[in-house]
Amino acid sequence: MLQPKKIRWRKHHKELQRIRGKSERGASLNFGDIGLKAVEPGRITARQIEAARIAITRHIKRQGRVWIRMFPDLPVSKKPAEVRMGSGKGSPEYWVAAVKAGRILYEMSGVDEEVARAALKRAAAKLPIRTKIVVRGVGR
Amino acid sequence: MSHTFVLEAELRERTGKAEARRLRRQGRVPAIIYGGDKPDLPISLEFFDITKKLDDERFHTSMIEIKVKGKRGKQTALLKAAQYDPVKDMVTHLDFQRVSAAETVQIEVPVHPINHEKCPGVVAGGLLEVVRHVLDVECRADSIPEAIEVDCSSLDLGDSVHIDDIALPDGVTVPHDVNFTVITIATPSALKGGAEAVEEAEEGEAEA
Repeated sequence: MLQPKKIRWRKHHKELQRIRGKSERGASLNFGDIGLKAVEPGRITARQIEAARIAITRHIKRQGRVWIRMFPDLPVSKKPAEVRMGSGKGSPEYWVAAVKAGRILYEMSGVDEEVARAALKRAAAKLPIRTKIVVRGVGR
Repeated sequence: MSHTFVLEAELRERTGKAEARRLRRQGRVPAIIYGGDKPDLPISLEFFDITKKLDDERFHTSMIEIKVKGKRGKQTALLKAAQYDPVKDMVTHLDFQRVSAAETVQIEVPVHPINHEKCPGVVAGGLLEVVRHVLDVECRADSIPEAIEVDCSSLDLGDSVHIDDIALPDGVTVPHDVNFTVITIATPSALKGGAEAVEEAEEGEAEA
């Protein structure tokens, strides 16, 4: 699963400013010919990113190429079960990618559009947010 | 360049985001014409008409004649930039730059790989990877190529085409310091290992 190699601080705030608003960067296809775009904001865990990636690569039988355009660099902490409130922040539990609406999540190339669409549809089912498929067009 | 596009535009009396939003609600797209030692000209265009034209690849590399309602004469310009809504993917604003035919301009031209279906690398199962989808070219405004065609017929697995290898049309240059890669034939991971290795790798990835 993806996670940062080196971190400066173990625990972060929720950093909701990284989720609110529309994505001005990373909103167009840069590498592949077809991609999956977030149409609503949200937090995607490293586990979900990996599950979607596996769904894509298994469907295309490792033929084409896949780019992941998000990175889970935000730690989420959690208190253990049956622990009373207080006594400080819980320990880091998992990593998430903060995704704004409009962000390209995955890009693909090297496979037929039909196969790519089916693969991306499977990947979308693994994600907690609504997405749409975008194809490389002129000027975008 | 063979095609000239004609656009019908209306002059924008007022500018600013409130006016731009009002125009978008009315089904128009705010735009601006600038450059050429003349004052900037804020205009608006019909949404469906401009969306249709933006889908034509030639529109991005052709001279455009803009007829502004209430203004005499035509403005000859190039599409300099197009802004889109990141979620809805609808055009929100356009920039046009006034140019004369003899002027040298710098513009992005799409790269089109040709003969890649029969190149040895692709036949062997390789993956045609376009590293640069557009090239920044310098040429006269009246001779902008619609696309830079790159012949891939002789490429084998692992081969690449660099910018110095591409035969550009006459009068067209691509200013560059580094001989960068434009197209490459990559080996897909399915070809790198056997079927068993693939299965093992998949399982390992899933468990990690």
